Amino acid sequence: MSNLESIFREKSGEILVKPSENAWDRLESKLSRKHTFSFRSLKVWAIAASLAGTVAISVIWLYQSQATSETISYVAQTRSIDFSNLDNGEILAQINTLHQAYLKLHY
Amino acid sequence: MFGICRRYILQHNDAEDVMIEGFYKVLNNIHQFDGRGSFEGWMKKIMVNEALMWLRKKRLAMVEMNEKMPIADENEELENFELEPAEVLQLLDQLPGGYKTVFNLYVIEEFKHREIAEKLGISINTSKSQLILAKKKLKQLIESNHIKIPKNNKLNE
Repeated sequence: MSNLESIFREKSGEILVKPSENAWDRLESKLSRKHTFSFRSLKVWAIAASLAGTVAISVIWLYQSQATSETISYVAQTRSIDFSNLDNGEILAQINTLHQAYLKLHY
Repeated sequence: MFGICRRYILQHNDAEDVMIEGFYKVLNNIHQFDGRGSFEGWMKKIMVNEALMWLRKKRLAMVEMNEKMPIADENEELENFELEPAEVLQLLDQLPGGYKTVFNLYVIEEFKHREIAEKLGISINTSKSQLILAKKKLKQLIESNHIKIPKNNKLNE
């Protein structure tokens, strides 16, 4: 290492330059802005999440109630059928309908 | 820390912006300091990276050279000279952007040419050539600005 390098290395650590008076105020305001922003964004996220949750619950509830009413209608339909007048194919079709109603009700 | 930023960035206001951004990162990422090495060293590293990012953004970090490698000065030594810290900064301020960045990284931050090349996205030879040119320029500036202060005279003061 030349003496040019060693002097620059040694003296660079002693360089004393002061930033302007308001530098720390600027840093402080930057930090507080960040915190305000994160609080705001937290609120926005909370509202968005609650809206999404409400929509999801509503969709599930609507789907389930629709499925239940369809199932009830299947069951009601099958109750009024007289099996004694039906041939084997029709009985099988009715059993299939009942099976579908059972599946909808339980799954 | 401001001194580090000023070594890389000429304008006081720009260097101050970089320092503020650097401190902001230090405070927001303080949990990432793993306790290995000194805290001051970790902060310095952040400041240097911040300054390099700023220079890259402003396209002031490096001028890629296509010329052939300059010949290193055989006699780099400057006899009987002394510099004050303020003069060091003044001299660095007079260097072109690329020379200054490489000189700072190699001589003061003690990075290897390979590391400098990676950091600045340049070739190792460019890093070497910028360093040679920076040293030549500094030597020339020291001699022409009559900063050369005989050590003996200083001692006799």
